[in-house]
Amino acid sequence: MDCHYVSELLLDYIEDELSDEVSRKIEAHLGKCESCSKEFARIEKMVNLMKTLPSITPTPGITKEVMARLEEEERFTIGSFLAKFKLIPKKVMIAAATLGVLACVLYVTMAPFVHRPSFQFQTWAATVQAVPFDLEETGWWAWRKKTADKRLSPEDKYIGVIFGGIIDKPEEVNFLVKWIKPDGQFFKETEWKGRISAGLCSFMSDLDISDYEERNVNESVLTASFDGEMIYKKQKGRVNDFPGMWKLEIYVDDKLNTTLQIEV
Amino acid sequence: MSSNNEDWSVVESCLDGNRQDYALLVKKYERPVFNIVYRLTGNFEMANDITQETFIKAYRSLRQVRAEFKFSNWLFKIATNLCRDQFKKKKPEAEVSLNESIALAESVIPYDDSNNSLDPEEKLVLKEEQKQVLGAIESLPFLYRKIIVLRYIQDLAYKEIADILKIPMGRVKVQLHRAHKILRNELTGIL
Repeated sequence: MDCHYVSELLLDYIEDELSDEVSRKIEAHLGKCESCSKEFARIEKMVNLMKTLPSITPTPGITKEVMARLEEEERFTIGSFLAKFKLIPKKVMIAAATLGVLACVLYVTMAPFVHRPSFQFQTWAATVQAVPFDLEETGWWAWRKKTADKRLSPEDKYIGVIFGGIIDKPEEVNFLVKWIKPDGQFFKETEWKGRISAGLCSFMSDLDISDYEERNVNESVLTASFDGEMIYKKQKGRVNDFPGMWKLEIYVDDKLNTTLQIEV
Repeated sequence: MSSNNEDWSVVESCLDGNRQDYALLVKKYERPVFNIVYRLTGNFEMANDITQETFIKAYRSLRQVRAEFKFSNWLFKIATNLCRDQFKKKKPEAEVSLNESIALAESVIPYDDSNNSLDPEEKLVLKEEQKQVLGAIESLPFLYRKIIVLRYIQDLAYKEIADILKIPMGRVKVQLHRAHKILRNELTGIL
């Protein structure tokens, strides 16, 4: 064995990665070659130094903090539902999914033969109301913590719109909300284009969730209510900065349907 | 029952709805995970955050993980991936933090002093040498640093490292050799 070959194998020798035969040859070479012995000592020292590096003591309370975060996540309805969903045995999930697929196939096959009632678009203005809502209650605060988005705080105020009742309209609706600041200046607007389903009751926030305009309104609103990550990215302003009487103009198919006021 | 089997029993219990049992796993592995992350990031605060995130992410994925994988290695895999993501995101800041950690943090961060057999002078020399080794490790490219940290700080076998990094064992060896060469050049003063 020449020195070059031995020096290439020294690390593997120290790591005990060589066959007994090769190891014996290396030992024999080290016994008679001062240069390789020195190289061996250098590598061995470095390995020992790395292996004996002190173990760092982590911040106390990591376990407590992790468990608190998990508990916090499960407190929220949707979070809790999803967490439980994850814990459902696989067999049950597969069975449920199979039933779901069968139901879809049945629906698609039978749809042309089923009488579909003509929907009315009604009571929608009567039930629309502006409401302030609380981050802690909606679960957004937990999402903020998770995403480490520093733009939101629990002190921030939000204005949303709740609408509901018998709201059926099979064709696509263009739904627009304009937020007007107390000084009469435009703050922002959010627009949805989509199909509204029966009995919808949900809210829209002052946060920009217009990414969802291609989707069904019901789905978009419900998703927006709980998908904080997307909401934070789109936030464009803070209601807190403009105290006073806010005005919300609600347009349906480009026509002003309702104007609401709310004190912040 | 082996440690790994015990871990998987706890996982089963968590999947049965006993979330509190997860605390046992966090408690057991918070230190090794933290040490890997700290040695990879060189930033105490960041290491704390990433360690927590590792356990949160692991909990959310408990159902997906395969039982034939060693539970601890699965955690280490999540932790190293999170560190990698952090470096992709904030490379310049991370580099600054690394340098800071060498100069400042090592002197104030709590660690286990296991070399009680050494006299004070020998301890001082060893501490100085370890400081230089840490500096050299932390100046390695992230790719090589991962290998060194998993091999020597966490004392994992080549096969385990290959599993964690999802690369063939041969590549682990090649990268370890390359990392060694860089380190030896950096540390000529003490070797």
